[in-house]
Amino acid sequence: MIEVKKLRKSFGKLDVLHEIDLAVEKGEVIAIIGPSGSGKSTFLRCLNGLETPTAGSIKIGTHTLKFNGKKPKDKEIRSLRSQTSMVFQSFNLFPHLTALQNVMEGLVTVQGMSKEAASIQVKGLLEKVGLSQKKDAFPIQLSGGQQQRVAIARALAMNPSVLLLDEPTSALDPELVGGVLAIIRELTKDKTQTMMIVTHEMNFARDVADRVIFMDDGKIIETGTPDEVFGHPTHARTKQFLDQLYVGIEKNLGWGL
Amino acid sequence: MNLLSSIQWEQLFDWQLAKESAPYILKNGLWNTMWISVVTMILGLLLALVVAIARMSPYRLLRYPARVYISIIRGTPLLVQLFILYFGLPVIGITLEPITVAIIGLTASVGGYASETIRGAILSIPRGQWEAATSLNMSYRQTMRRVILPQAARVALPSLMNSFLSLVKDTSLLTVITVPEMLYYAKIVGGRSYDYMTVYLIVALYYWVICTILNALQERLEKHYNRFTNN
Repeated sequence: MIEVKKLRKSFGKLDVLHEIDLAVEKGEVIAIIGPSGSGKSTFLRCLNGLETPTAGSIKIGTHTLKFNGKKPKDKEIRSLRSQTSMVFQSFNLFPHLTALQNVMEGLVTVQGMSKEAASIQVKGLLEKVGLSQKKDAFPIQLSGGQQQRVAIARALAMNPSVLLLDEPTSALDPELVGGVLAIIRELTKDKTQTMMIVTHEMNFARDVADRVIFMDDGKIIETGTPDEVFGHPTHARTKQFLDQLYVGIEKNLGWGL
Repeated sequence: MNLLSSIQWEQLFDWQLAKESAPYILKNGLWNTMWISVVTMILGLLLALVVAIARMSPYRLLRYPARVYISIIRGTPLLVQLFILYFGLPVIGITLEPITVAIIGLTASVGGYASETIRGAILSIPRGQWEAATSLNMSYRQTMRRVILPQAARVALPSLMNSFLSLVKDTSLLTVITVPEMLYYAKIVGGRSYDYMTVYLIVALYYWVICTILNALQERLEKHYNRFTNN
């Protein structure tokens, strides 16, 4: 489904990603963990074409895009991007549109679907995320958790081959995290939707991911099943990161492990 | 003290003249004042949008002309611009009708001022909105039309409404290039009756009433826009 080869991204002189290689199977759920500034989000944004990689190649489905320092053609980025959908940390719903209109926007404006057909399809999606009651609410009238669920529906509406979630619960009040995670967990159940989730919720990652990737300093340090990475990390850096989380728990900092 | 005692209060307002001239000024001048304002505002806004987008373009060839244009419009008096168009251009062989000069001059003026308002409003929309639209695979044009501009409109509204009020009042400058708007007819009556005080007070009152109505309209529009925001 996804094949990333020797992907590099630099902002000026700062190298954010070094030679990332990764292959993801269809239906696989990947959790990406690691300290802040390790390049997790940048990696995800490269897959969605929000950042243009400096070098390397990305293949999603049948589309391959090679990068060589120049900006690729708009059309090529768009056809790669059409395979993915993104859920953002800060939701980024369109504040001037209702929940229903937010989810419909891509279908109508980008895919050219009629409003009637789109609204039928979208009502089903809002039901899936448990918000059919709120379809006419503006984002400001929704809680953070509800907003993120609308954002998930909006991403799903585009029927992506790969769903990308960039710290989907990091901006939420603690009591709202569970509801959003439950929705994502639900999506992973039938093992058809390929997903990549950048997250700090370690319990959740352990629970839903088929594979966990630990990133640090712009590199993939370690990858394996949740049991392997969390239970028997082989790299010192991974161990150190996880230990810090445990310490956080002991000191009652409330980190998710 | 001397000055105060020399004021002839009985000359302040001639009700008889007002009765005759007020409808005359309104009937002949109001229509021109209003349609010129509305048409140049609409044309000016369209121009402003284009200039604002050019001003933010990554291409110098678009950005620099936009900057020069804005700088000229904002840096020179409207009256001087109108004089150049109306009295200056004939010198080099281009003679324009007063009404043509009015439309060009006022449109260019609105375009210059409003473009900065619109640019500011567009820049005030958070980056996440662009990213969300982009990630849905919307094009620049679609993102602008469906996501950015509807939000920017709300931000720009009070300031654009200000521009419109200024514009309505600025149409009075057109009198000096013989466009028959409200002040033009007031001047005619004043010239005939020698009672400038009465007719100019009447015309001032007309401008004030128009602006007050527009102000009320602005408040309603803002309420409409604010249904999706906190404030």
